[in-house]
Amino acid sequence: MNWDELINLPVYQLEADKKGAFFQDALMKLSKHHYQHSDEYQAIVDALYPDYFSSGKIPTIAVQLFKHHLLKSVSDDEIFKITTSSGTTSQQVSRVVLDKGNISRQQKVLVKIVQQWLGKKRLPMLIIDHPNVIKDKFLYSARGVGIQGLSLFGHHHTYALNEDMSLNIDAIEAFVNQYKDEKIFVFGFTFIIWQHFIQALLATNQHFNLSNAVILHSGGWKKLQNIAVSNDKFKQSLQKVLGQVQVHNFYGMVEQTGAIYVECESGYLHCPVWSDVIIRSKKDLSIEKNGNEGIIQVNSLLPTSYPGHALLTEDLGVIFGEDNCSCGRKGKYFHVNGRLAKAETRGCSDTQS
Amino acid sequence: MILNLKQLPINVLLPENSSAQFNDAQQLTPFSDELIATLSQLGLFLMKTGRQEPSIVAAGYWLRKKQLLNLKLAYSKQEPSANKKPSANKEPSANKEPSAKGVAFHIAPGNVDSLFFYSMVISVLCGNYTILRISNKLSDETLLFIHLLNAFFVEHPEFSTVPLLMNIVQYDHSALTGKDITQQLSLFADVRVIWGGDNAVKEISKVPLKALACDITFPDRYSVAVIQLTNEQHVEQAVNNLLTDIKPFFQQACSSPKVIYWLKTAQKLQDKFWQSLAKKLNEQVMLASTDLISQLVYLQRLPLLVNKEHKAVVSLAAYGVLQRVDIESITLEMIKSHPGLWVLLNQQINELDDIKLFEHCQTVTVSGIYESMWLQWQKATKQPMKRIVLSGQALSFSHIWDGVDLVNGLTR
Repeated sequence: MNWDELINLPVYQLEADKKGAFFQDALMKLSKHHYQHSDEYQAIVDALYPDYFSSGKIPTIAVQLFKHHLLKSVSDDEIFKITTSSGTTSQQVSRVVLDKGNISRQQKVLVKIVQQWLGKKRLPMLIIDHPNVIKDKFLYSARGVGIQGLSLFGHHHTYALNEDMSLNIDAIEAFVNQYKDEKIFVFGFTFIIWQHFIQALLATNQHFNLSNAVILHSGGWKKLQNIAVSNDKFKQSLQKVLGQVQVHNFYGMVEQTGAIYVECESGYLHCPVWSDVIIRSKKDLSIEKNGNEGIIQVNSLLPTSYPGHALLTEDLGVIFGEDNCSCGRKGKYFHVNGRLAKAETRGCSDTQS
Repeated sequence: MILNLKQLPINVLLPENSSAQFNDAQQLTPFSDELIATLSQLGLFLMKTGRQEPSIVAAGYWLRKKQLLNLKLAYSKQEPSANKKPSANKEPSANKEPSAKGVAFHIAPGNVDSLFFYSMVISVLCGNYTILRISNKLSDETLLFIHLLNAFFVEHPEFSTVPLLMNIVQYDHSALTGKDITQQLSLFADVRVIWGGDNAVKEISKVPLKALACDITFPDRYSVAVIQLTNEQHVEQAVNNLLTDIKPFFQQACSSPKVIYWLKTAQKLQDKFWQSLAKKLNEQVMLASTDLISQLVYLQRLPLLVNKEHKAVVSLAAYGVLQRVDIESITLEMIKSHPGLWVLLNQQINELDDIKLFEHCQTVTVSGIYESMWLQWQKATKQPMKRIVLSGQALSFSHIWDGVDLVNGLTR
């Protein structure tokens, strides 16, 4: 794969036939790369999918595998960093092996995608979190990685919360006063924005009137669904405390860092040119038709240092179509509906629920 | 000491309308006429009213009078030559009639729907005041089972002793108050029975007991099947028997075989077996998405769990929900991470001595093998296993479970 060319592809402008022409081929090449360079991937393919490559099929790896095993396609001395998923929702964390090339590619792709939504200029950035979340080495997890990754797009980074998660109202006011006439970038994790920013501002009856701000947020809806907060309600509440701001949710995961799926003005997540989304049947994991809910598979051309290029997630979603979203962007567009129920232990080893 | 269960923050499921009061000063004689009469009546009632649930009928059948009297006979005279060998740690107090321990506190396994009942009923048969803690998430089958138990005692007020002995409770184990309840019940008990695997045993064992009380524990176990087929006529029977052992509880019960050892059986017969097993299983069961993914994760882990020194070949054949994995050498990790969900690890052997078991093996089922042959193997082998049973009977309950004699453990 020639990344000098790939990186310059238009993020949301390639139509299905043109994307199909290169994507499947590139993904197959990538699969063979991992087969050659990853002992673990080779063992899995040899045992479970021996005839896949010869019949043009690409095995889907369950994303949980990264919680149990270190899967790598580089030698130990080429490993630059191992990132982990946040350990808040489950005991075991995913470990993703990265070399320098892979990291730089993740960053470049992230830049390309985010620029589509923020523009090319760096913006004054308000981070809805506390400053120590990126300092603590032990917390070097999805939250820290996310904030650091997106800090690239801002300047005068201001943290809106104190370490105890209370509002740092002085910092917020100073930031707003200084930049209220400029375009502003606000970033945070969905639940933290809801719980510690929106709720805290509402409770103390404080609000701001930003006219030109773009808010990106991510991080799963499970906790919010539990308290019945929909994407719409989230957006409306955020606009209540910040004024008429643009709000974009995005979907992504530490196992495929960089290639994020951002929500458009029409409320759909969009597939960038370097990724593909497939929905699989909840009954038998076969490929599901557009419009039907199923389990989300994410394919990405980015992972070269670990075999995470075709992953079956634990998320449920629906693809609504390809190339014909009302926002005008090309590619597949979809919703994420939530997460699959947790696996239950049954039988003699049930641990006393 | 008197313990009133209703004063604790717990949910008493059985008996529904009683004071649920315990007095540990009272004593009952194991296998008394009254106990046997009541329990055998209960058995008949369960077989009649629980007809739609095979596990309830099986439990009722287990309580038939003849079986209870046989048990009584086996334990009333403590002669070492008796068929039911008394366990080694039992005092060889010849001719002394056993007496009840007093109060027995049982912590039942989560979702093996009927195991709770056997644990409780043996305890009651031994004359113990029994408190059984059951999971907060109950299947419809278990709810029906408990409903029928209540219905029986409402219908038969003349059986007034047994409902005092049979108490099923629920409380949140993980909550702080739950720990407190476990502590209170443990300090009240003369014997504690802990089901639920290594973690449960480890956690609950930490909670102190009375000075002279003891634990009966059931840690994690796994089971295997040995099958020999010599002609086509026997395929169906072998399939049906294995199905009986693996279909219930998503193959997650510790007695359900996870491994099949094929003893000198032609590949053609094995293929027939798999096709028939798959057809029947796929007609009868389904996996929800979460389980489908758990199954996939396990299958994809298997090639990574092989012994690093000699790279064993692993290969998969999928038959719908049923997954057959041929593996040259099975590792402990493969067994420990097995999620049930109808994955069978498959290995070819030339003789029974080729079977290598891990320390926590419970049941070996045999199918199509001469009794004399496996009996001889059982006698000679050093392989750890608690028992050998005929295929189809892996889940049938026995009062000697995991090699633990429950009657001995629940009497003094």
